[in-house]
Amino acid sequence: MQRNKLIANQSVFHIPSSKVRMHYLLDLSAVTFSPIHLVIAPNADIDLLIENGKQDLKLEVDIADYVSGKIQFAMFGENKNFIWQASVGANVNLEAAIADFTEGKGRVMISFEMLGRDSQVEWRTAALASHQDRKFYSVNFTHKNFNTYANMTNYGVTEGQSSLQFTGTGHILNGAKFSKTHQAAKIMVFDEKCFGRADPVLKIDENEVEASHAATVGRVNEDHLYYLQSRGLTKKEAKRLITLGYLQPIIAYFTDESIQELLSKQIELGNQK
Amino acid sequence: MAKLEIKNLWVKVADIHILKGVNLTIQDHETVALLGPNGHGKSTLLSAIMGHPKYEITEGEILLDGKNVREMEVDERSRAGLFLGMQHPSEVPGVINSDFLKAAINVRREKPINLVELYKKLDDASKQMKIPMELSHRHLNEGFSGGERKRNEILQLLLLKPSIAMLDEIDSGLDVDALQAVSEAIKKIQRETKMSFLIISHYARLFQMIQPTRVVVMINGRIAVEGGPEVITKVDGSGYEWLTTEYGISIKKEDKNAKPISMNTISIGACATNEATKYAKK
Repeated sequence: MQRNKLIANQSVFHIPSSKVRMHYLLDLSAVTFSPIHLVIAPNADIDLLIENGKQDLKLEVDIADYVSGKIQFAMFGENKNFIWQASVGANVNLEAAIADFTEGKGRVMISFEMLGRDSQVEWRTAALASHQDRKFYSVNFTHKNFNTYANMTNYGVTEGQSSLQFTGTGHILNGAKFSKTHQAAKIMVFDEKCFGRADPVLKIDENEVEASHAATVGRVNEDHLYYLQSRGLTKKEAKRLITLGYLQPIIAYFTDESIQELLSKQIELGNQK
Repeated sequence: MAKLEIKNLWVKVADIHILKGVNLTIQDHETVALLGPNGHGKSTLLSAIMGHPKYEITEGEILLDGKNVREMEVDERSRAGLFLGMQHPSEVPGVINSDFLKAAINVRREKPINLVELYKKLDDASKQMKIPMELSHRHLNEGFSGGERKRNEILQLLLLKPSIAMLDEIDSGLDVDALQAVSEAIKKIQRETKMSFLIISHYARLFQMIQPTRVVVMINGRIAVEGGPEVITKVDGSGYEWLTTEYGISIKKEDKNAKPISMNTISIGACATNEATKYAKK
């Protein structure tokens, strides 16, 4: 896909308003300063791909009123820490997804401050930790205004001697009536020596709101393994299929075919190691 | 060519023996009907042969063409030629049916199957089982109706071509059309290959269509009676009571207060494994 590459102007990246969906690429590999500022103008309809978060980075994002579209994070988590701090205006409608199938240690901290009313954000994480990987994800929504909506789904697989942790926080502040905050986390623990943990946190300071959380950390279902093995698949192959099933759905949220292929390959590679 | 020999097989679940010395041999190109009241170990026998981890074999032998099946992993048993069409096939969320079938076919080949060939095989088998091809793009058994799951089991049988096919109540929950498709598929295999079948069913209907060569009746964890197709007619007509009058084999109703299950008392109408597990929990 042809994307407009964002170029910094005095350490700030700008995305202008648009009547139709515009495709952007924010390549972080060449960025040498931190924090980085990203300003998204009102009414912008975006399909934004952010990639190569390889060094310690903090990204401060201003999302103006009536911004809509998709944000995709690819190739993250390689040995470094990444912070995404966004303030969200009114009537915003965004769908965001991060896929992290690379090797490494790091903390990824995502936060959205829902400042304007009637805004909604859908967040999805798919992370694979293998070998000695140490991965920590924190996804945070703070609802500060009327009728804001957040839903996060965090999926992960941990294998080998790795560890993977998800913390999800939904905080509805006083004054944010009719807001909804939902979260679900699922981690599949494959081997004896790996570690998975999911901490859902809900803080509610207002009435007439909706909130839910679900968190499961578990081993592969023995019946599933038996069924697949009873058709001749080795334990390894059966596990591979189950992992793919866990992580692959995130790929549909990426619009570039080349990224989709790359992510598939990364899942396969992580599996084979 | 395949021969399955079961010699003095003792199997326990949760410390209670469900199979108590089963002897059974299945030759090439045989279709054996396995009958018996509920809760007497028919499913346990099939699961133990396939290698379900819940079933512990404490004594006896299972030989496939002379090879010791007990030493094989579940997947090795499958590749050696055993197949179990399950009574309750697992839903495996996230795993796409066609990816799974492709993997199952590929473990039996030196070179991976190409997509065109796979598509053709799936298409043929789907048509034969009268299930929509779309089913193969869905998650394995997830959201499948009872009938679709059972047909999907037979579809796998068609694709994997085992030498011994064990079918555990494959006809339960099937409507007339589905039953027809399943029995047609089995008949075609009987005509065209040397595959042997070991089939559990409670309905004479399926057996009328596929015509077993031999019938065995399992009572109390042992093979009590062997015979020809006439046994099916007898059971279908008058249940299992004649076993008591003709052979002196007692089939008692389970005493709810008796625990654990006494080895000589038999429950009718309850799965043996469930019963054993229930008692073990107490």
